Amino acid sequence: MKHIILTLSCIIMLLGSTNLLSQNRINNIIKTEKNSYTFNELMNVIKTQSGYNYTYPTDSDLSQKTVNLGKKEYALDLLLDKISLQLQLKYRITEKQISFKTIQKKTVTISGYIRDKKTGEDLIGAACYIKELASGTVSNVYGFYSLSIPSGKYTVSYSFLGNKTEESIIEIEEDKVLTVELDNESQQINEVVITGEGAAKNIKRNEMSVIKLPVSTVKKLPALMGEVDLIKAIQMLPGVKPAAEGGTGFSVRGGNPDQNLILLDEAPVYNASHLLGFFSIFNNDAISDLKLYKGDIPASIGGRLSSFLDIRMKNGNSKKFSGSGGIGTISSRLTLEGPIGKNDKTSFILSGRRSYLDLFLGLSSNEDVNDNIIYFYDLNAKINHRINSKNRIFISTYFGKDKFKNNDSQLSFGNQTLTLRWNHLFSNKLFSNTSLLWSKYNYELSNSSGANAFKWDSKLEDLSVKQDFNYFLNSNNTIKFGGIFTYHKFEPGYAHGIGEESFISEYKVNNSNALEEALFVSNEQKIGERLTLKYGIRFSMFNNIGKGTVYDFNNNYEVTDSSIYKSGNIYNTYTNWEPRLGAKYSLNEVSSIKMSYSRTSQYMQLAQNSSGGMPLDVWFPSSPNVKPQKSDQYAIGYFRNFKDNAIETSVELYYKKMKNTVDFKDFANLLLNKELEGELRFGSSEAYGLEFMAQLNLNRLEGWFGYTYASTKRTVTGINKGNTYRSPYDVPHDIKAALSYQLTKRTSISANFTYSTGKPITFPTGRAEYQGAFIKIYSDRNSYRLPDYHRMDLALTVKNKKKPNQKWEGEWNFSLYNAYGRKNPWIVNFVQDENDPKKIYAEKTYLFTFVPSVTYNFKF
Amino acid sequence: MKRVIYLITSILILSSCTEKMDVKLDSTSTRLCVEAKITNDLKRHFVKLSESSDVFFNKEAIPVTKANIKVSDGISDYLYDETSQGYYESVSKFSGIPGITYYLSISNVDIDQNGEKEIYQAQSVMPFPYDVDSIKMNYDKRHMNDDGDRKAYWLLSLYLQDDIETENYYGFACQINNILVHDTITEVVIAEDTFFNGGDSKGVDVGFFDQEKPDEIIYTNDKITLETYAMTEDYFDFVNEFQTMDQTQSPMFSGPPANIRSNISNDAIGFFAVYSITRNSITVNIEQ
Repeated sequence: MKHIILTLSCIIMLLGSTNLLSQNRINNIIKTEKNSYTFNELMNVIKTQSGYNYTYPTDSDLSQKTVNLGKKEYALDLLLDKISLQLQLKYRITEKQISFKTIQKKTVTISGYIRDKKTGEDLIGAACYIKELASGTVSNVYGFYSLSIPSGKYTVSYSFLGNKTEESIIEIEEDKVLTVELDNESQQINEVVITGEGAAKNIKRNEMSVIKLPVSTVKKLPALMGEVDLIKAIQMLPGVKPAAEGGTGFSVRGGNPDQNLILLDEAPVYNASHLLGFFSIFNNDAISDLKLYKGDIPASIGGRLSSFLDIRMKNGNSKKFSGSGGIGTISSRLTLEGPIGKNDKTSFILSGRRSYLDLFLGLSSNEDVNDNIIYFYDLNAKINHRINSKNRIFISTYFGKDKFKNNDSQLSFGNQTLTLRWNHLFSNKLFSNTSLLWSKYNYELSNSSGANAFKWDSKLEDLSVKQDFNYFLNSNNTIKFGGIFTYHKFEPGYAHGIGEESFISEYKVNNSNALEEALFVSNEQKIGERLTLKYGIRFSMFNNIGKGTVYDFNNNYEVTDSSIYKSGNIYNTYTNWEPRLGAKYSLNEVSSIKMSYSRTSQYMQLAQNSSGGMPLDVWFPSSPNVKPQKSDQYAIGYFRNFKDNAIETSVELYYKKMKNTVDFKDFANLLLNKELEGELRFGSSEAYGLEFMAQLNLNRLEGWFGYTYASTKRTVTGINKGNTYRSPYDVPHDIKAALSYQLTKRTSISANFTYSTGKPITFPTGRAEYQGAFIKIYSDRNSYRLPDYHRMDLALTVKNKKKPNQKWEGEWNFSLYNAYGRKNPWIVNFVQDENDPKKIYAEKTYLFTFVPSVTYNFKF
Repeated sequence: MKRVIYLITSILILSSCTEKMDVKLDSTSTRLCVEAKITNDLKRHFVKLSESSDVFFNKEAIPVTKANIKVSDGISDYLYDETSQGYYESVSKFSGIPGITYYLSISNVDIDQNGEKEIYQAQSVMPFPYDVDSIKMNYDKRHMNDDGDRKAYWLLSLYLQDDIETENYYGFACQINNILVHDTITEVVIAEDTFFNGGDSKGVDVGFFDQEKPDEIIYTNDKITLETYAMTEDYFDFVNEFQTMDQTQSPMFSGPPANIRSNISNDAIGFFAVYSITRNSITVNIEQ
């Protein structure tokens, strides 16, 4: 083994009978001459040098079995461990007698949780690996793992990125619960980075197109206005593009922003943005884990075409009460977490953030702005409780809101989610999670000025029950199955005048209801040493259910008739079979080839006509007029690690074909429109690309860089005369780098760099005069491009000197967004010159040149 | 809606900047642009013909001359004369009649200069004029306009009763002392009855006089006239699309830019607008 294991200290909570090795420390040194001995030869060497006699089962062929040695000299106890591990024996020393026994061969299961030693947080995706069997597994999203193996004596290692690897030699004769707590990697530098067998998991795992970003890495990167933003970090990954500059909408592999499923503790988030999309709703202090699936979406997940972003909230420190927070340029944060009660069984986390941007507006000399109120806040809370070793419950909630207000108008919008979960172990092989999920997105808009006074509400609400089982059949097969049932309630818009003076009567877009169900089963199967297959199927169903109104449209998209369905009446059903397949073939210890195919379907979409999106955009369901979108994605990739897995590289090729793509007619009216479906146009789209990524996890340098070549095109009846056109997210070349470098113990610097082809855009190419103004004559849809986009951001983090016995840790973060002040056009307008009305000129609007910010972060 | 957009973009005022930029654009083929109107006024109605050009043409549009223009209401034909280059007026005065369909025909034009003359046609029905109960003038020294600026404005309030039976499309433009001040199509205020169908307009503001614009300044004893247009749905959509196209684009609120509609055949640009006008006047009395 070429990995350097620095620490062998392990904290293993052993339940049931255990036999830790080397009960009797014996210090004899045994000198060996050959590289290999037979068992008998070697024991005779030991006998000669130490005087220990030995016994072994005579009915076995043990005496002639070979033991391989690497060194010339061994401490006796280590040598005996080595013999035992190689020949699968156990031994006991009494007086000067070593007695060996063969271990009975049967299948046993080790299972348990992998946690962080310092905080007690579950570690998601931590590896458990058995060296002698070259076999392992990773913990699920609740930190639970289970591995079935032949009984024996093994070197078992546990590892997790950013934590020390724990390794120990364990004799496993019976099913065993091994719950492990991994120590946090020391903040000291100049220490060799510890890697274990599990570190090669990107090579070994049968999962591709998936990127996991440790929140700790994200926190080191430069951020706009100092607001560390998980979504912005995601936009720095190959294959992911921001939908508009500075915005939190993103496009994955050419998909639309509404084709990303964002789950916060399993509850869907329908609008992940604050403040016009410049910030995402995820407060990094409350988040423990973030994983983006750009493809190869597991069978347990469905409902969106392009990607799945799995965000998990922290459980809260179960060891001690602690806090963290920050004071930033535009907002401040505070997180409190700790155990409830004494026995590590219950813990909580409470995290809040509020912006104070309106204070800046107040300072503005612009009268029109300085009396405006603009703010957002987020609240995350979670409690988890271990009832006993087999049952655990979690309650988590998110509540966030944005508010904009001036003299007479007001807008507020926000998401709310609630997740109740129950983990239950039916056995050490069968893990179950039951979730009850609720999610709501709503907005409210009002104006209070006289004849125009109105109020406008919109709401989308989801209620789901979800059941997941993980069945760890044996070391070669892990079966997952389960289902989900969701009730969607759409209240897209209701506007009405307020007060006697208002001339506005009322207008209501019809409410609608839908059920979305799915059942899935999948298996991950190891075949031999090198090949792993993954095959699963998801059956999904969508029902429109009354009370609802369906309009009939003619060929000109005009309403000809309507039908009203009674409450509870299922009036339309769609079903889809969604196969999900994957294969991994290890070429050697450091490289593998992976392939995947996944079909996904999507039953609800966002009526978003702009590329960036706005808070007023509404989701609408599939219906008799709107067929569900479908996507087939094929991908193949080559994965190769370097430098003891400290550098992980991958190249992936993908091809995606999407059906029932939704686009909108020219000058579509998507808000407060009963006949929204008449504004829709349908077609297909196609995307392909190549992504290269290198993730660095070196001693001082960490981060990643990536390159993407991609294309995505649409063909939609009624748009661009039916000709194929570029999707707004078609960006061929895209280079990205996000790196941080530890300068000294206390300081680190980091940089983001991005360079990409300009976004597609429609420009006017002609003009005609009409009644004192110009009619612009536009090019084909998206046939021009904005100038290339590039930008570099820098950040410097300085930690305060740590004093002994001081709990408080502080750090200053200075960041500079768009460090060289590139004026990347956000939009280009063609403007009639006021001084010379015969003239039209092009004018770009750009945002954010040199945005400096300072944030102070603390922990206690 | 515009105000709402303004409200949520006020933050951008702090962080966005604009700058002229060079853009290379392909040239386009020349098309016929038609500006034609028939109203219920008794007058010589006009048709204006010009050529489309590249965006950066930077000159007056080239007039299309020597065309033959005819308007018909199915019974009588009205012939047009070219009174100045590209500007055609009906030979005789006539007033459009609500409920009647008018047909426009333009011939003897060879816009693509291929030696073959093209014929362009359009038709539209004239809607019935609306009854306006009354209008009122109010002064607001800090009125928020569409650009989000607060300025001194004179506002014209409208009182009328919408007909619940029909879908109504309104247009509004104002005169000061018989001079139309809202004379470009982008200044016309338009509204459909979706949000107040069958209701009372309750003095909603439909006329806006920017007191910083020289031609819109109002003095005491000025006679203000509101022109209320009864528009067809198609013409309303044309004006709406025109105004949308004319607004500043933003990646957050704007859909992809697109060509606006035209009701003229043969790939021409522009519109044959047929609408009826109701006029109401009021004299402003500014108390000192």
